[in-house]
Amino acid sequence: MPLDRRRFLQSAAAGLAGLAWPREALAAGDPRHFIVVFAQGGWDVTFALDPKSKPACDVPEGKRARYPGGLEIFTGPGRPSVARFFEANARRAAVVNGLWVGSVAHAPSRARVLTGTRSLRAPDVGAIFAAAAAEREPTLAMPYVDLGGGARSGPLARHMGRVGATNQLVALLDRAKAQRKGKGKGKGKGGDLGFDPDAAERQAIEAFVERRAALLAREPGSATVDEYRGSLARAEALRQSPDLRGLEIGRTTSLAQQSALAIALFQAGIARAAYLDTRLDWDTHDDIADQDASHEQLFAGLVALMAALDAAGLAERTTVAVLSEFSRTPKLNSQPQPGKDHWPVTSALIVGGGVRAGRYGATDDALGALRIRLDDGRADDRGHLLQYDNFAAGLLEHLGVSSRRWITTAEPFHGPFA
Amino acid sequence: MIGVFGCAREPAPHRPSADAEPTPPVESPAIERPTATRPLARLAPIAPAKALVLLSPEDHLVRIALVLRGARPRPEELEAVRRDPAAIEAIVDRYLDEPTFGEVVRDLWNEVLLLRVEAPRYNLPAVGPLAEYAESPEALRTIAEEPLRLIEYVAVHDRPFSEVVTADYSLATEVGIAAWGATTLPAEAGARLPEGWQRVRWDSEQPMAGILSSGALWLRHPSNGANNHRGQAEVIAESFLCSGFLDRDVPLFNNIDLSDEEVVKSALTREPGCVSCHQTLDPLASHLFGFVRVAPGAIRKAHDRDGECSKPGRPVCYPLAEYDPKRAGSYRKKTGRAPNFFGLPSRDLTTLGAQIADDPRFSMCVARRFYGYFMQVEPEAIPDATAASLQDALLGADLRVKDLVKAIVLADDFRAIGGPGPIEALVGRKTTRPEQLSRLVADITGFTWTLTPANKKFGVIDLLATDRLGYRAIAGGVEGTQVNEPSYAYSPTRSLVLQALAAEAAAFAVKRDLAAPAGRRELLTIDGAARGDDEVRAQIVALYQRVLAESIDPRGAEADAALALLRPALDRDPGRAWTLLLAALLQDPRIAFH
Repeated sequence: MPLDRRRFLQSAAAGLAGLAWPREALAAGDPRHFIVVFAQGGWDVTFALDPKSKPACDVPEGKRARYPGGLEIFTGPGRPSVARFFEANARRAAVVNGLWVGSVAHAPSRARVLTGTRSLRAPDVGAIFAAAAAEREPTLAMPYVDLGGGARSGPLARHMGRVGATNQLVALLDRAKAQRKGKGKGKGKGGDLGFDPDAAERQAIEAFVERRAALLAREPGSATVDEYRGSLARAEALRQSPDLRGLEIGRTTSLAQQSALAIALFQAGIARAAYLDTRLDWDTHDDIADQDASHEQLFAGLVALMAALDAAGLAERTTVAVLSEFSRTPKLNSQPQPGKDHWPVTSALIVGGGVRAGRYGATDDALGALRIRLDDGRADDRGHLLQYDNFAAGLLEHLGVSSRRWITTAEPFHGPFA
Repeated sequence: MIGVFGCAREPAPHRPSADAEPTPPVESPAIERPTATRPLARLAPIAPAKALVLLSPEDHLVRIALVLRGARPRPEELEAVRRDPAAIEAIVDRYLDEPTFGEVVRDLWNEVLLLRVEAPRYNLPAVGPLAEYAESPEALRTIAEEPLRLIEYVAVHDRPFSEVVTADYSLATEVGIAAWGATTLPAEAGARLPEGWQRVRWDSEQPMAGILSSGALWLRHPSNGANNHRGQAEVIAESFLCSGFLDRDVPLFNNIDLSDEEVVKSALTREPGCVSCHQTLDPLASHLFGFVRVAPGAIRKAHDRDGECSKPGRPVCYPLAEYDPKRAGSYRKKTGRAPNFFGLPSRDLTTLGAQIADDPRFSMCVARRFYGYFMQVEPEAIPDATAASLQDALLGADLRVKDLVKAIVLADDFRAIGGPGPIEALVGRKTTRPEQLSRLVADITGFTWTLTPANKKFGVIDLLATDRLGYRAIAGGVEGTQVNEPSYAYSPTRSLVLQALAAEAAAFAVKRDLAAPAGRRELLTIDGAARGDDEVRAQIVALYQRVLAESIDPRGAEADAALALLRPALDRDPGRAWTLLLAALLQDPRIAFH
């Protein structure tokens, strides 16, 4: 039975009060959070996370830098934020190398890395975690928020909301505000807002629709109608969110803006998981130098994200997974402006949320995946290939969710998740 | 920063198609002894009829009208089915000949081919001879729509669907002709071309093979780096044979440098793990080596401020010459594998198209895709017995998909809302897709949800068909780059889309009708000053019928509930009161689902 409106709004109010909570107010029973930061297109891990050398690999300008916990990172003058990030966060950061994806095509690789399955229709780790959170906290209005546009909810779609590439969700939450801005700038056409029901009218409409939906939901094959009922009160709770209503619209959101909103939604008790996108094109078949600039922007964003989580008192309870669907070939290709093509081995960066800092997994000099022990992530010729499904299952278990339902056969990777 | 802050709407005139006609009066003459004109193939039922919970004949018609017309059934159609459920067959025949069916076919194949994307890297820039369209993005969008238009043309003209990959012509607008270069062909006798579209043959000398010869298709699915057109071969195999390669793993190798073309070339013919896929994938890809990579960014860079292209003769100047016959044989150096279709010798795109058409996987795949779209199930989840009967139906109709669609929508599978055990997941309530929602609301209210930003380069934006400013993916649709699968579940953000659309459409319709003289009102026929209980209840009954295709008792619980919603504001502000009720009805579960 879907939650009623009153419970949702009470919950939302409690969540908003949480915005003022001091950092030390977080207690052992406080909820966990999960953020995915996705680098779409395939990053070149030799630029930071998996240092390599010539001649086996074509590598950028830079040097190997060591950080606490045994982390070895490749830093360079064109991407100073990589060093800044690890200087500030190495003690709570884990790098996983040699992650075998088994595909060199974008869509299936993305699905594998995010979901731990081959299915293009399976829910990703964020969706599974959020669904579990929603079971514990039925009043969450939007357990999983897709701020980057690439989250995969599969059959768990009822738990996920999309904000849109330019925050256009705001125009749905606050019609009057959108309208005022439109008129104020004298822009846009069709500016007369047709009908913007007030709270009482919305409540009356919702009650009317809910009654009708309840009748229909009694019929066979109407589980989706029940989900619709549940979404009505959740939608109203979103409408009450000052963080969402306060967003600027009409501009593609940066990683920093996505990060700020994710944290605000966590604090407000609206969401427990968020999907963020770097908004960069990592698919550098041409001009590998673009990876340098992209790494700089990504890690600058991650520095800010972790600082914001610290400021909000959420870093200890928030696991941030920075992922990309695959990496790039060890050597440059023969394009006029050489780039690198797709490579079925990648790395992952996990930060915060109690992750065991250090470096896990292994690759050889030519970026080939080596066998490891799944319990501690150390290289072992008699061990296993660390596959996408082991990784996703381990991440889920780390987040406190059994991986068995969705990633049915994979042994969870424990390495940084012990 | 783009020049728009909010979401506004542009009330549009009625759609030109028949579904936008004002609601005919209920008293219209009923269909007398309707006669079906098409054969009806019987599909193998997904479960015994007794095990399925079926919609009533009227609700079955409502579901069919939504998916084929994007509209409510006409009153006389509902009446005909009430009197004789068998009348539904002739009504379906009529729907299949209406223009909206062509739109539905395009929507379906867009979910397969993912052509309607907004990312600049997949769209040709409005420079050079296309600069005149810089403020007409609707015209520019016809470039990406071209393969879908050919598919629609084949389907609505009752041609064998294999023409999609064998046609020696295509369709293009003047924009597409300017972009790619094409020679117009005479229209075929009796054929109906969409306004602004012409039959063409591409000028770049590619062998003609339906959409396989389309520069627009390969602009959306480019071959990058050392991919050697394998990604494009995958698009063909997956889209038309449902037999893609991407669910297979690349073999584990730590000794093959994928960036060294010679090493890779050797491995692909010697390493068993590579050979198993590449012996069929690469020969398929070898048909496509004549296609030149078209890079919108490079096209933009090649044009100066005066619109002159600095690199004439290169595939960065319009017309693009997207195919270079001299490069068609370059597979010899790249992969060394001659064109071939899963072991059968092939020569070029034309022979490839013919072989695809003859492959039993083609008819099976097309049948699965149509059934899957209407049933909202994954093509591979369709039981084999059902799939086999779908294929038989398509083959029995000489690959004409209208007959297949007729068989699908009239089957008990499609009519069912419940079934035993795992069947329940295949039947049941269908969720109205964003494009269906857009058509349905336009049909009911005359309202289309669009936005016209101040920056004219955006043109008129269909808010349920786009994502940069619109709500397509939020509403469960396919965005085409990151969101490639439709969603059938209602999330809170999807509900917000429906709520906003309902409010805007209701306001538009009520404002229009209350300002119109009696007799010219379309949805709300009551006078704004009317307060009488009978009048108000009669209007409520009419709204339920028109909006929800539901007959209610004017003195029953439904009418009472509607009246309770209406009454508080009716005396004070009747326009607002009726808008409130209509907004509620437009977000009813009978709108959200079908």
